[in-house]
Amino acid sequence: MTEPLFVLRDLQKSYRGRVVLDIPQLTLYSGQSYALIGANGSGKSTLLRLLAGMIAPTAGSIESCYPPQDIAYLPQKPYAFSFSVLRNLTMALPAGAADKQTTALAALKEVGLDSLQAARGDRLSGGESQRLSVARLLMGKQRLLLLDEPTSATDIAGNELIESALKNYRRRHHCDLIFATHALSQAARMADQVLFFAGGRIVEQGETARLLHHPQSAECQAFLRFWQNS
Amino acid sequence: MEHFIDALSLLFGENSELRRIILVTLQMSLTSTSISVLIGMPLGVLIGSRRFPGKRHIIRITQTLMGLPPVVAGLIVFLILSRSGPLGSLKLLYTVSAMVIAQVVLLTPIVCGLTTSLVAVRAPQLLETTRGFGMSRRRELWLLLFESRIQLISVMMMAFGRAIAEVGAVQIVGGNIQFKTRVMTTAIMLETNKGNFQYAVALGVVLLLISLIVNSLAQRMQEDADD
Repeated sequence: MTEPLFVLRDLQKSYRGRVVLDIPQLTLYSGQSYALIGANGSGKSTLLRLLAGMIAPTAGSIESCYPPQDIAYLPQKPYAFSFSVLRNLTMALPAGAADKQTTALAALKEVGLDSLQAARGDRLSGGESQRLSVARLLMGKQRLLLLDEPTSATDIAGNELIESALKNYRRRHHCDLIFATHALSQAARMADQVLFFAGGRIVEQGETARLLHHPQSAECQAFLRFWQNS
Repeated sequence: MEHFIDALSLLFGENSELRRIILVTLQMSLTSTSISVLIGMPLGVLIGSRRFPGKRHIIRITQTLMGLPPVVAGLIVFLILSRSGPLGSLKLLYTVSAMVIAQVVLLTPIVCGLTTSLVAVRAPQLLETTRGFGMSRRRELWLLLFESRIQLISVMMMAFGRAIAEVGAVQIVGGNIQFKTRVMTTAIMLETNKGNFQYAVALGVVLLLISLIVNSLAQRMQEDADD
């Protein structure tokens, strides 16, 4: 563990009076990767959006050690534009960037979409679209990746491609990773720490192996029971 | 049937008044549509894609104005442009310009409101994606417009269709003056009242033809935009 990545104090997010996220105190550290797990509507996506600066908290504060331009965020339902797949990537590069096509093609190859470079982005399947979105994000040199269910729509092969691409990216750029996932095996493979959410709160937090195999809280035990039995 | 045949012969014959009516109609409709789109569409994109205080009230006002009765719009513009009105010195009343102004008052809220609605559907997902990889705000808006192009073409064609078919406001501020401000819709009304059905049918046929051409063009543009 090194310096704090994020320090959250009394953080709350409400919509029309309904509190959807309530975190009294949380520190996330650089050098660790975090997986956010929990049922639908438990607050994982809301936290990621707050950390990415997409929405503002209703109360409390978030201190970040990275400026916004060093953070890349992948939403749960990323948008694929009606351009070609290749252009969907090159448009994400800065205006003055050199060798845009080469960079984009390399990213497409990492996620197995190079054969579809001429296809229209908005006509890809859900899994292909998700791989496109991940590839688009991985062309930058961000120091922090915030990913909301990056493999929710992919098949096993697509899953492996994305996870491999993420690992390579982290190795190249020494970047931090915080991601939400419903695939607990993915959390086991890619995260150092897991945060379990329920009802907008972080109910339990700990090292991946410990939390996934020996959860302490009743809610986490109930949630993981299905995974352990499958 | 007899009126229809007479109407066709009128259309293909030498009738300078008929030609003038068609020209004034097209001039007025194209101008008012262009101005409404230039004002209403960017406003609609901004309202539909941004969060700001009072957004709900602005949308409510726009939606109310979308239902503004044409005669009320005509009356408001008439009062402003009349000799005793604040802009009476411009002497615009009973001119094509006054008719354009009245139509812009009618069409701009419609263009703005429809654009707001269709952008609001697409904007959250698109903008969250572009902000995720750090795109500039200006490029985001252009992308939003581009991605909504097919629907925006429909909005433009709808605005034109509304302009060309409008009668209440243009009657009040234009006066339906022969060879000056008479357009197809006011001419149809006048000729029908006079019992001159041949003329009214001829104009009706032209209106339908223009509608058909515009809709075909719109469909073609949408297909090209989709490609």
